[in-house]
Amino acid sequence: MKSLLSFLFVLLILTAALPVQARSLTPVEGLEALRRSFSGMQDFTADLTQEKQLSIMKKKLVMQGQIRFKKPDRFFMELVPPYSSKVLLKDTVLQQRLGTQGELQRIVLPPEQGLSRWFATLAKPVTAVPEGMEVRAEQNNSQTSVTIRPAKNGQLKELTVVLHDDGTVRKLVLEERGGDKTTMTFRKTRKNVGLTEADFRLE
Amino acid sequence: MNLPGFNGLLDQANRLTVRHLGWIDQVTCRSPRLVIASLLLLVLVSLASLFTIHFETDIFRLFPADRPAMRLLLDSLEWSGGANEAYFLLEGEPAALPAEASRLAERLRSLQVDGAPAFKRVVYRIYEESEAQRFADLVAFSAAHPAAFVPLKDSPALLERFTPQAVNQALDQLTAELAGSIGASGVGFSLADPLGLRTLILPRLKAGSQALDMDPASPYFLSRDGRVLIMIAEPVKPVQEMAFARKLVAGINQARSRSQVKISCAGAHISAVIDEAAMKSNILSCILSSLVVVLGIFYAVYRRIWPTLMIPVILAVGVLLALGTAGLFLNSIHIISFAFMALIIGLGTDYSIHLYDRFHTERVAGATTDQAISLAVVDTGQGLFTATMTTALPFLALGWAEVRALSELGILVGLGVIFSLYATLFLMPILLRKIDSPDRQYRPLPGLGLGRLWRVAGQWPRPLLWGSGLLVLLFLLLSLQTSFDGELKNLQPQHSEAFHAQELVEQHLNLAPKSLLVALDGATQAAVMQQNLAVEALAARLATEGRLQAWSSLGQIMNRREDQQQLVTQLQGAHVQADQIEKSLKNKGFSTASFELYLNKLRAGSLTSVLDESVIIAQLTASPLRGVVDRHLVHDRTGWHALTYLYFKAGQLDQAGFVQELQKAVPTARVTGTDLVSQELLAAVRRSAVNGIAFGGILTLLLLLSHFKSASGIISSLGPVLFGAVAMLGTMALVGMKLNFMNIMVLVTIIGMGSDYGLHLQHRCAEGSPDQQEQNFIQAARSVLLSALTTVAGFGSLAFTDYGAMSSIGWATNFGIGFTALAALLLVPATVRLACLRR
Repeated sequence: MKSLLSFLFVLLILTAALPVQARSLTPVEGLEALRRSFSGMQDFTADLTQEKQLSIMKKKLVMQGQIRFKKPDRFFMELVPPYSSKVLLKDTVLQQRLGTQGELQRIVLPPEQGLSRWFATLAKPVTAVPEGMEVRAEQNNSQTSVTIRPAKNGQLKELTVVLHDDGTVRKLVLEERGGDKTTMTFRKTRKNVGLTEADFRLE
Repeated sequence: MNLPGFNGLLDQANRLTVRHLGWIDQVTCRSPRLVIASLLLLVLVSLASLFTIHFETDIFRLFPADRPAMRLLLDSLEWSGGANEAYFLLEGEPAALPAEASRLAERLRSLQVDGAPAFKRVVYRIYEESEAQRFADLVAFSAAHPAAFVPLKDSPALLERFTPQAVNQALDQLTAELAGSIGASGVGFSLADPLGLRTLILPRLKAGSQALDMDPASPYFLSRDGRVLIMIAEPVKPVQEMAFARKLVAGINQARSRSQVKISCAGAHISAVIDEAAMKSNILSCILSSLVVVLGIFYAVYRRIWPTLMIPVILAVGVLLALGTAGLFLNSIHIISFAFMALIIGLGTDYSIHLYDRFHTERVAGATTDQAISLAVVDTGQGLFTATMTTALPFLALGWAEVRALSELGILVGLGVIFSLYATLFLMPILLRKIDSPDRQYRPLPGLGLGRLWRVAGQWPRPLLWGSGLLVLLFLLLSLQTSFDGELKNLQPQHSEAFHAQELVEQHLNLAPKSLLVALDGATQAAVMQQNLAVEALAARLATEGRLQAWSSLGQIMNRREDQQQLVTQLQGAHVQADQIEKSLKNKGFSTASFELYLNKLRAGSLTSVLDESVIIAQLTASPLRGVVDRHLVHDRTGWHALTYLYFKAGQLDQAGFVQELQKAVPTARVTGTDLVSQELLAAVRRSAVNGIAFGGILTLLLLLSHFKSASGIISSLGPVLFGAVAMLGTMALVGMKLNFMNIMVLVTIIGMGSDYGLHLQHRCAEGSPDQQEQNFIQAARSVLLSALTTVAGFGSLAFTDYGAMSSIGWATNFGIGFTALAALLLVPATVRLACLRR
């Protein structure tokens, strides 16, 4: 489950920050374009709208909030009421607080799933699609869509990244094997704004 | 001394000794090759015997395992895995520890021994991803059976959770959790426990699972002060397999060599492997340093290269024959016992000194080579024979000591001393005959100021004796301040990793400074769990009375049947309806079909059923909390064992009183703790010391009686020992050194070692004209002085070892030998002169 979590964190960051090239892409080119675009970014913030259609709920959950990222290993997400919560990931340490008074929960991801490790991997040029992974990349006039199907054993069934060619509007859709679907839409994305440690606190 | 009935026996013993020494003198003179061939044969046989001995490094095998507290301690090490697991203690800046732990864990996980992974598991985090599903299963079980885990005191809160309003609040909270989690990661727990009952259950499970005092807010096994992080690793093979363990330790050392923080490795057996090399080098340096000093002393005084070079040969023969003989009745010898070689170097050289000194003195006086050797072997040899026996027998008497460390050391030193004497008596004369020639000039040996000492002692014998008496009184008063150190860890190498790790755990991670473990043994799980109720009740009462800091048992994390029954009765009164909860789920927008498993359990009456304790234990065993079960409930080939741990501060709990209370409440219970083990050891050591002193003392007395047949001779031998022993205790008190399980035995061995000095002096000076007496005194006193110096060199090397056990023996013996030799050199001439004056 946490492998999926950390993978999603990385994708969240990547998709929120990438400018888009309007041309047809092969799977390797698509992944490489994502990596290259990320390499010039030190931090970013974006407003977030998240829609969840969970198998255990009949109604769709819609949340608003904000995400922040700072290299090499900081990620923060805050959702506003009625579903207020905060999530902070410092490399491998994941902390979450529900509401404003909720108990702080902490868990530690395995080191291979830490943010710094992911980004160290992403620093290397993509020359091949990772084994067991399927990648499709499509492009139309204004946006690029990259769909990734990770290895079959994982909980994540499919992930679709929608990138607008101006590099400011983005969308992430993830479908899990239990039938759960989450769509995240980012707006007001700002890169390299000089975020500090103070921007990554749960208090 | 007139001892009717004894005199004939003593005369006979003396005659036999003289005849025996005469035979040695003759055989070394007439058949030197036969002597050498026979010795070589004995050495070969000893080597063969030596190869049958297993050499131990396990520190726990030094102590008697048949005592109740020690037995349970050893059992608990096996049960807890403590004997097999490796513990890594990372200390440094709190911010750096997690990253370093992560790197170390990776390296340990990838570590290979003989082409296969070295560890089964490496853990340092509270939550491991691989345990997620098992944890979710436990949550699902506990949510369906809250009576199994919710503390009785929280029953009102539990009942409140099932009111319609609380159910709606819980479902709102659940919705918020699902919204706040990334993707669908919160779905699993939601299905397992939609009403969030885990908030009433998990704190109890978490508290009960704390074997160490760790930071509850940290996701790591981190001390509260954040300075120490503990990592537990389980090797794939038992680390008692030494070949595997050595390779494992080599890998561990490599894995931690690149770390930015200090990493100590502990674990009952793996520490022994890690410290083995240090232990060996420590003992080797002891042996070599004492040998160098001893040979240096001998050469500095006598200036003869061949006799000096013969000493290592004599000692080697003595040591090999001692080991070979010990191999006939010992299956194994602990590596620490090899320190005996250093002692043999110190004690065994004495015979070469006495023998050579007499030979040299007689040659200076004009005797031929054969005459000088015969006088040395037969006359001085008589004194040496008695002295050897008085030294060896108290050591051998320790062979019956209940503490293996002492019995092995006693046997090896006792045998080594005897064989060193015989090696000296057989080899030194052969060498002397070989290297000597009639025209060789022998210059007088240095008097070392001993003639003046003789004259001073003779001039003021009474003031000297009175002054000594006052000094004894003073030291006796000081010795009353001597205290006993019962801490076993202080006997370990003070700079070893095991010692350091133990200190770290005590300083940073122990729940309380002291602890006790109570075990109940039985044939079935149900039986030991039932019996343990009485132990838990006793522990709960002690905690309520403030006599315990904390305690833990399986009953701390799960409800026993009686508590379950009370909760179930209350839940029955609450009339919880699964249909009502289903309706609430539906109203809050949930798909009720997804919660069918949970709802079906409720419909089947899970909330109001009292579970068999074995069912709850099985569920815990299948969960990430199996370690808590393993810690408190053990099943091995001897049956089931329920364990309860009690933690307290010094002075908070009267341990003896608790043991009595426990025996009244549960007569079959066993209990252990470091203090109880220390008490057992102390009792064993005390018995050994009393028996050793009595047995060794009587034997020494008989030998002295046989030798001197006079009270003055016995007083001359034992008087300095009494002075030396009292002065040793007084000095120890003065410098803040304590008696312990090991050095207390010096009180036994000093009788034999120390009585030699007075014996030799009395043997040589008691008779003859005043001038002759002085010359004899100078010769004997020089030997005594040099013997004392070589003994101090042998034991002195122990004094500087890292081993608390050995070091304490070294210092105590050096104090004792130093004062005894001083007393002998001053008091024996004084008493001899006083006796002459009276005559």
